[in-house]
Amino acid sequence: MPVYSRDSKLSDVILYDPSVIQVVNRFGIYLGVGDSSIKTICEEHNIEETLFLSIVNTYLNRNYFPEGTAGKVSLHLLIDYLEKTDYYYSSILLPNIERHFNLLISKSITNEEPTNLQLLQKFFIEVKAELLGVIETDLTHWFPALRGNKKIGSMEKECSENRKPYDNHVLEEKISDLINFFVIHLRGVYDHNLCVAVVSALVTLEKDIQQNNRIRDRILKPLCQE
Amino acid sequence: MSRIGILGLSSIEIMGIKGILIEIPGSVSSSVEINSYDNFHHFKQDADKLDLYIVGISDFIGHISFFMPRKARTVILNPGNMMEERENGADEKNYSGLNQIYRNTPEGELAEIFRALFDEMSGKMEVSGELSIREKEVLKELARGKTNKEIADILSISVNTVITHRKNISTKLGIKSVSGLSLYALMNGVI
Repeated sequence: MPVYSRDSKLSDVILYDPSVIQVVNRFGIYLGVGDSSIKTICEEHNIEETLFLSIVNTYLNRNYFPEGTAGKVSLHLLIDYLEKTDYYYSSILLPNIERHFNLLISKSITNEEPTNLQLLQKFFIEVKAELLGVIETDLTHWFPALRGNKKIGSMEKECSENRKPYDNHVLEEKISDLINFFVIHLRGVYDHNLCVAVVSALVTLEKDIQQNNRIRDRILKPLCQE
Repeated sequence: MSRIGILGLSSIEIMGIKGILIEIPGSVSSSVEINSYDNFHHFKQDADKLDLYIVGISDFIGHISFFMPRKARTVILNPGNMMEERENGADEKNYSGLNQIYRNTPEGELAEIFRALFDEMSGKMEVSGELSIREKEVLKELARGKTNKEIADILSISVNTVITHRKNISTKLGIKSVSGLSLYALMNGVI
């Protein structure tokens, strides 16, 4: 898996894994990037280059550990990025999944009560409520505290075992379960295309959460330690 | 073919374990090869080729750094009293997550421990499989909101055996969270 540098073309990064479009969007960069290098694009958009490369490489590469970010990466800009990520989940991805789910159920009505799809939707609503709760905690509690220079170590005492500012494996597990229900255990009559739309949207959410949890663990956590 | 390595047990204990394995219905016992070792050096040479280790407590403690990373496939023969150790909480405190057989573990539970381990071994090879009757019972209690300890008490098995059943259920179904498992139980008439 490649590790990109300031001289890499941003278009090459996006073509390697188009899901990174969502990441560069959070920096105010949109499609139509031309053939400029990351260095040039960062200068044009007034983006901190080390932060951008750390995030993009950590997002794309599970074996990448950014080094030497202390003193070079702004905690405030990193939290800006994470806030935009939360906003992307709450305002775009979750409503998108919900819309597809509602359509799927309306097109797949059978005489069974309740149908398996309705039970799966109930599970999705539980996952959605949990994710929105996590976002609320980020925005109203953890991010303001970290911006105020509070250290992760002191915040961990207030955290539950299952949810820390840099770790949310339980939520990841539930989203993975939901996808597996569709892939392995789905029964009955349903609209195949809409089903694919729901699963694709869930996979996008799962992948983005996993990759952003890596960013929290490998960039945010070291920046906020004692 | 499953290969079991036995370390540090007497001939009578080895014969007893072989007898239990043969009694397990539907297990892979018909295709099990059992090798016994009288010293750790020889055992270690074969360890990578073995699917399951059955060891005496003194060998386990003497080579704890070897066995702890491999605890999922290790069964310890503990000369202690199961009820006394459970009452003292030693079962959960000292050797959390380990599979243990005590000198007075009931015969039915001995078979249960081995059955769960065999299910786990075969579960690794076959991701999607049918749940066994015992796994359905564990799933049912889990879906009712019971903790591992409560399930162990209801089914008269150890907490470690419940944990092994849970791992097997998750491997077979591809579902890990309690919410997901409860939903599966509801969708499939387990509750």
